[in-house]
Amino acid sequence: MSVKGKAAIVGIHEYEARFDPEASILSIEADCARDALEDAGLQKEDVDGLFSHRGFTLGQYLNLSPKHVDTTSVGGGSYEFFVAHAAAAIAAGQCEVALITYGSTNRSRGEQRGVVEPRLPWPDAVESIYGSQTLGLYALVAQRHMHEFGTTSEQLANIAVQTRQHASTNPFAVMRDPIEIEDVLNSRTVSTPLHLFDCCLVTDGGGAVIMTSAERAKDLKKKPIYVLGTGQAIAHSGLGDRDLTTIAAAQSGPRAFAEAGVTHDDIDIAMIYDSFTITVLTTLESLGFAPKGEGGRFVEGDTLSLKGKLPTNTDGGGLSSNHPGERGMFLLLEATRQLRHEREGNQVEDAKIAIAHGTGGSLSLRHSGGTIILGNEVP
Amino acid sequence: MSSNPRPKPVPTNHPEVAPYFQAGLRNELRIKKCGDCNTFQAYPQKNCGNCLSRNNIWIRVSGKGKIYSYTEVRQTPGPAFAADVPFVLAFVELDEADGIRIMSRIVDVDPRDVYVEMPVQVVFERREDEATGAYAVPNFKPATPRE
Ligand SMILES: [Zn+2]
Repeated sequence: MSVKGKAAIVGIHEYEARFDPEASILSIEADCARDALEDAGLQKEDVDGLFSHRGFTLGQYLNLSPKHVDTTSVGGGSYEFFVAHAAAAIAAGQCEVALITYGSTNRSRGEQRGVVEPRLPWPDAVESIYGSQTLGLYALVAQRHMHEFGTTSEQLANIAVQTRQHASTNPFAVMRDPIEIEDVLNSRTVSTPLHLFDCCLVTDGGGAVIMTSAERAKDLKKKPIYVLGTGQAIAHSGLGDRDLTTIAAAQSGPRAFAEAGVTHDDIDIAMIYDSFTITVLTTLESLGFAPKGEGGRFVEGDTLSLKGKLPTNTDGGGLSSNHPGERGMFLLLEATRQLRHEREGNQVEDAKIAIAHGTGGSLSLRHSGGTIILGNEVP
Repeated sequence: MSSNPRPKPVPTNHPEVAPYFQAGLRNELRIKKCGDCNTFQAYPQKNCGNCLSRNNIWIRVSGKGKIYSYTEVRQTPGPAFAADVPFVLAFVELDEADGIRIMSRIVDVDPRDVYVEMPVQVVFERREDEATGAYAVPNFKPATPRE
């Protein structure tokens, strides 16, 4: 059964603060839920489906008793999975109003970062003993991509440059001063071949999405943004023949395109998980926007800019706006703002169809890929 | 950094994993191979990752391979590894065992001399833990031409 056009995003909210020591994860989720419901013109009592990492805990905090609960946990891509699951649940009549939430205090609770389990279980036992953490794991992907395809640091840097340009008009973005390729190359090398500006920020933050049936969506406050296609995948090292440069998007992408019945040429804007510049490059390749190995050339120049071939991460992304640890939520929020044509300062003219792709876990090792195609009408 | 660094994380001593690190104490790299379907697997796991059989046995390999990818980690990945920085993290493709790729470090080399495809040879790093006792972590160093 296809979910195309059966459910829509009708309410959104992005937590504005990037550093908020007074907030808790649950208070951020509650704030975002309240404001997303307000955005939709719905009441808390309308919610009968809850999609969050914190199932009964958040249920208690919000005093909700939903009849459909989903606590999918596949890292930063969880929110694209949540949208796919919510669309299916709504289409099947298991719930009518779905609340998807995310909250994180990664920045203000930063002292907990870098602490690893004292006794490593499988499979961490043969990984974390080496001091392998996110940064190094993505650097391994970048190094291999450069080796196989001749991708350059300049090409990766341009992703950071274009993303920063988008952040410059986002009042909530942490980093708003425009940069040049040289600035990225001159930032310190954190793990060869990646520079500091190839890496995302660490912030607090959160967000919420309200979804309902296409039918009910018509009567609500905002223009419905329809779910056209969904794709889910996980990727890992298999039996040992790991391919560092092809990611889960290569499976989830075609699934979403097939369900939506659209092609790459139909996509007006892209929200691509950008934990690192290399994440964007491999995702664009694996989704099929560039042939494998040609992602470096694809992202040169102004391809990713507002007037370019594929305006990407128009809010400034994780590289420059915010990254509380699981950024998949914000891909959905920015795609929705763009398709509603309410993105002051950074609106892509006449944007109709958006793709959002979230990556969770870690490239190099185990990761998830969730692809969602959204449209402001059902083609 | 603190003068009393946080100890490094210790691998579980569960029997599914422990033989991997105990073999290292004898300078042996042991890899799992299924006795039923003959599939090698990069991770030490009780059940075969291909056919799920429990007849999954440890096979000794020479420990020769080549670098599939590497990175010189300059920013510390947490307090336990602060004293190690910079170090070279890598995936090594083994010459044997159907060319499985395993995570490791490249040691005994100037990071500037490391390259993708570089021939390497396993070398073991002995570590101690109060509860677990001694265990050894497989690293790799540049292969000497005559080996
Ligand atoms: Zn088997």
